[in-house]
Amino acid sequence: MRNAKIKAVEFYLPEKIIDNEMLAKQFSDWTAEKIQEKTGIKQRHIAAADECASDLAYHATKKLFASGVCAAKDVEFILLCTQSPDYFLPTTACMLQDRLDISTSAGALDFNLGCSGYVYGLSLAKGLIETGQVNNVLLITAETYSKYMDDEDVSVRTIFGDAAAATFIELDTVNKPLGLNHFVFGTDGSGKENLIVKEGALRYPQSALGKLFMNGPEIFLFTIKAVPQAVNSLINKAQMTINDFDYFIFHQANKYMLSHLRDKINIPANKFYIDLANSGNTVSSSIPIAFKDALSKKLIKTGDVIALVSFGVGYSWAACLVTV
Amino acid sequence: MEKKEFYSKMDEIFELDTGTITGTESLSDNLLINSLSMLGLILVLDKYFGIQMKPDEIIKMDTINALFHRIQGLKTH
Repeated sequence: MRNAKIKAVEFYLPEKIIDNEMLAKQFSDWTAEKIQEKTGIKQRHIAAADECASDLAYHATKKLFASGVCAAKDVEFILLCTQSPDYFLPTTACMLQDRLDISTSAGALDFNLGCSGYVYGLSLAKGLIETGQVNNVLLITAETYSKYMDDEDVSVRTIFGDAAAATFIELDTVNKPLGLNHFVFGTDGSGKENLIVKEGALRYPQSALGKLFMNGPEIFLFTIKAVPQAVNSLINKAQMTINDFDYFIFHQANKYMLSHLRDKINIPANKFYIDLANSGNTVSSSIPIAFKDALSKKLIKTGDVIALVSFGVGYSWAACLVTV
Repeated sequence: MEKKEFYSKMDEIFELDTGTITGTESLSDNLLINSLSMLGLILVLDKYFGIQMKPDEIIKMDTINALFHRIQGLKTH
């Protein structure tokens, strides 16, 4: 039996910080305290003008290699999730193969998903490893949504931060059904207009970069419908109960939404991660950042059974069980 | 949730003093509903009534009182 397992996670946050005081100066209807109360966010990291998704991805992966858990020469496949690539083409994962000195025998591809992307990436990695195509996958999530944001749009500027995360997934030599399991998925493209960068690609080409539009109430309504159902599907597929899970890590959308979801699904507070104070909503990197932080803070430990739940733009959602 | 308690929740959502809402207020004209208060309304409807109303449908309600009656109607179905 071949089992894929997360071996290590690292992340990178760009240097520039936008804190609530800076936003409150610009948006007179808001105070720094009110922004934190409503979002749970104190600050977000923003990529520099000349810093793109591949740069954040590069730094996150170099941290992973520097930790000693894996090396560039080991990597057999690069999966990269982004909606803010450096270029329309070539593929960001291909550029990173070269920049990171990963073998030319490695496979590499990008996939375009937002906040749901990490769990989808884990599923793809599991498929590649457990079908014997490769023995390991470097899964990278990297976004610079800040480049799409209108300076005057408080709803997105208070929420989103830039980041990248690098996860090494490898064949687990322990012959037990551990690792990554019980994936459930969901898609509802009817919500496409509610989180969108409409202009700047090929349907509505223009010389300037398109702006991110978010219909917050519609997105909230989508999550309160889709996420409890996804958790329920995961529980049923795993033939477990809420109490059987040691911990739950949801996409760190915002504190307001997460608190309501936790309450609605009846997850005990001590088993539920909410901490986006220092990095904001980092889209597909929010789960790996939370996962790494939860490990560092010893909120989760080896052997724990964790539910990962991701949801967002598309609409798209997914959940899975991870044994640490 | 009784009407009085619902009005009290509306006071919180629209950041008004307790007892301000009487039910006759228009969501768009008097209360100037915005994205943040709409989030609050969606949460209250889901948390206390188990009802999920679309923002477009909520904004069509003439008054807070009309919204409360709409919620009661949805609860009975």
